[in-house]
Amino acid sequence: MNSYVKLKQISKRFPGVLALDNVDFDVLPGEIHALLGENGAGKTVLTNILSGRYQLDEGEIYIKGEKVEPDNWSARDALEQGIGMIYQDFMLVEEHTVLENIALADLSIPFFPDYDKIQSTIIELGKKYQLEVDPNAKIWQLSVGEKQRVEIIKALMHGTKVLIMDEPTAVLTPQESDDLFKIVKKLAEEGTSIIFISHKLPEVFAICDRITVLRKGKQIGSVNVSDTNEKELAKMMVGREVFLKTDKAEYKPGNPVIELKEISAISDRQTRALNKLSLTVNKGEIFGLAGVSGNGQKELAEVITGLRPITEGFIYISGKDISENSPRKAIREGIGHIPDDRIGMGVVPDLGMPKSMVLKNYREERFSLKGIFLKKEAIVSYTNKLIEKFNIKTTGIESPVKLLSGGNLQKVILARELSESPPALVAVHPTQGLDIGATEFVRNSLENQRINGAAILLISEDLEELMAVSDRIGVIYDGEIVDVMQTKDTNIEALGLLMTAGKHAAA
Amino acid sequence: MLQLKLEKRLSYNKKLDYMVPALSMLFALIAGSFVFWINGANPFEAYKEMFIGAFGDGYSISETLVQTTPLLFTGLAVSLTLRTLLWNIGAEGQFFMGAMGATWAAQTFSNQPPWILIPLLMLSAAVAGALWGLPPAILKTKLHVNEILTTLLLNYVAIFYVNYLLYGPWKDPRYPGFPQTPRYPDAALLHQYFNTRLSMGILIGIILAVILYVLYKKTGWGYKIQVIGQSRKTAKYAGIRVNRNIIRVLMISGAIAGLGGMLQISGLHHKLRLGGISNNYGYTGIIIAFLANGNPLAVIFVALFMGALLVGGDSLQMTMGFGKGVVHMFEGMVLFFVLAGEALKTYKITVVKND
Repeated sequence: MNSYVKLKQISKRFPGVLALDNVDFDVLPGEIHALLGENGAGKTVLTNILSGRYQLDEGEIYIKGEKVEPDNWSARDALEQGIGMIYQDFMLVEEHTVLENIALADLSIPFFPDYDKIQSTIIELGKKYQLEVDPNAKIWQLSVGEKQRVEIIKALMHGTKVLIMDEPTAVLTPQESDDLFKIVKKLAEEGTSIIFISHKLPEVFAICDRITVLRKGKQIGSVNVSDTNEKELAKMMVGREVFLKTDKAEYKPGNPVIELKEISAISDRQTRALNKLSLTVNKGEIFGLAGVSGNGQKELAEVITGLRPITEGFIYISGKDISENSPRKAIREGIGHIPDDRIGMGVVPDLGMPKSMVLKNYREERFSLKGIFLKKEAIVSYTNKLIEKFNIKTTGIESPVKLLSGGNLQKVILARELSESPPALVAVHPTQGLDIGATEFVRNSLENQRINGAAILLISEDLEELMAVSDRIGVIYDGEIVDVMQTKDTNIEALGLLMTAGKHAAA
Repeated sequence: MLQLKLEKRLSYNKKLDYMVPALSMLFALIAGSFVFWINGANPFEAYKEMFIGAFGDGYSISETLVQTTPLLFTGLAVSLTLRTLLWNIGAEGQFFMGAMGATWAAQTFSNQPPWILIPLLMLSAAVAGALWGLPPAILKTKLHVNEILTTLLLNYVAIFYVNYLLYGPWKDPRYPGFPQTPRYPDAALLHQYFNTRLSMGILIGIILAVILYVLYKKTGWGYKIQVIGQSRKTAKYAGIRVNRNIIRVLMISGAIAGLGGMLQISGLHHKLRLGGISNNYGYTGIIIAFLANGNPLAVIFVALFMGALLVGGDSLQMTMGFGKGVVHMFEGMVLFFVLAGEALKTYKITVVKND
């Protein structure tokens, strides 16, 4: 069979980095082709070249066997040749309706779009591919899964022949993921090719035909799914054997450290985010909180760390009442916080490493003279100690932290939050977007804190992660904890059901 | 075929912080020369004239420093808010309120000796300027009202209020036709040195710049301000009381501008009046702060450049017949090139060969 798109010996340079080094890549019609690799392996660069967003430095592009001049390969050319991409952050206008968003798929953008015709096409496509979505709903009213369906419909309306999906399941529940897989398979049956970017090996094996692995800009190999296994692929991706299962020390929970008693809180949208929620995390345990995003996890983390006030209830830390919480109070009580928004909240992007490390304790006597003049030398030597201890790779300690890779940036935050061994820790999506090596590091760091007696609340949407590292798992649904179980007594399917159906499933 | 391409810089080059504004000023001068040329003047001649006008002899230099003084204060005032990513467009009004506050103190405590009266004037001016920065700060922190609008609008309020005082209660009874106060008591005046109009105001401004520099670079407060300026969310997360510090910064900024207003009267005009007190100093301060990239030491030099431009422009008016607009045109051009140059801090231009 002839490939629809073929990239031949592609190289792409960025200042100081060879992002892609002689990579060959091709997609057959109707094929589901997985693109695997750690962060920084070059997956995004490759797909951006394919979709015309980046110009290539060397190499050739063929569409249906015909060579395309690199100068004639813009984002628009790619769209016209049927190459569509669905980004992780959806490219939708939140305040517009589904219909209006999909009307944008018509590249000619007529002054008066034929909405009736578009609407009937949406409904038709919806039936054919199980892509049901209300054409007149506003985007912000939709769930993440529904938004993704709108993106797929948009791509189909473009006449997309090759659909690139960047980690499409990262934001979905297990049930939603299953629905997506059915849609993807159906699309492939009808002749659309799919390029499926993922970190998760099980789903790659579930739906893909072929797999291309990239590592540090080099193509490690392209193999048929039937000819390989998970272990081999993981090794190809990382370049060594990986052990994601952390060896856990024995579970010996101590006294309660984080205690929430019937707390309620209001979200940014002025809706009730937490509803008389109660929760206890004990010394020396990792409490995993599962839930579909938007069910109050964000607010819960903010309430414990003092970023959001509670409207009723009580918060105790090691028995001390801090219901009138504030970030400063939370820090003083020793609550570490690993936020999900690393670059936006966890650090100041333009600051160097020393100033990032003392963000929370620069007032202490050891870092500032009488709380006024900063002791620069003490701060730098403290920083160097942490860089060594957490094995952070940097080009220079004063270069802005925003230039660090995702894994190293997370290590900076871990170093700051964990080095003082806080009695309580709130970790929100701590491994999201990290490659396997960094994920392993984060999980081991959490485990070490647990052994040292910290009470850890781990909020994650990655159920496999929760199963791997938590001692107990609670499920949050609509601002309430619907169930709490010992990890050994539950499984991913049961959790998935509780996450999506809440109390109905628990009952 | 050769092509120019913008590429993102992967590392941050500190030298660019100085290079970009310096080159921007140079390019503004080059662009400005076309204006002279179109109007039939020799640009070299014109620049020479401006340079001589600003630095030609002792007196010109003193006049340049006289113009630099108020610019130094408004520039420092705006640069402080710039570091916290706030825009104080209200230095003009705070400058006037400072002058007003000083005048009130001069009238109220006119019998005091200079060593009491001068500090009192300064304090009164700083408080008046700070209070003028307070409403925008409160509106910003409590109701999320954009400080650009509120500080700007309060400029007009300040000027109208001073206007009212000058036409009404504070008018000098001896000159009923003029909107101005009586002359300050001698004890409220700063000495003018070397037979020029230069007072110690410039020295106070330079000392203030150095103090601010040390505060920014060496203290926890400066660090805190930097964190707030670069990421409000991170600041909150780190337990920094963001709102309290925003209010503080806007008030201190107002106080600095207000102090500039006091020095302008005590050191130069000796009475409060409308015309001539501020040569758009508050607005030029915005350009200065931006050019100096919030660095108080750089403010000194940029203020000097702008002051020289004002004095040189004046002499151009006399010798070559160009209007005052020339100076403002320059300010505009400098700002234009700086804004354009900002892109070069994050991007670099590379030449690509395409076959």
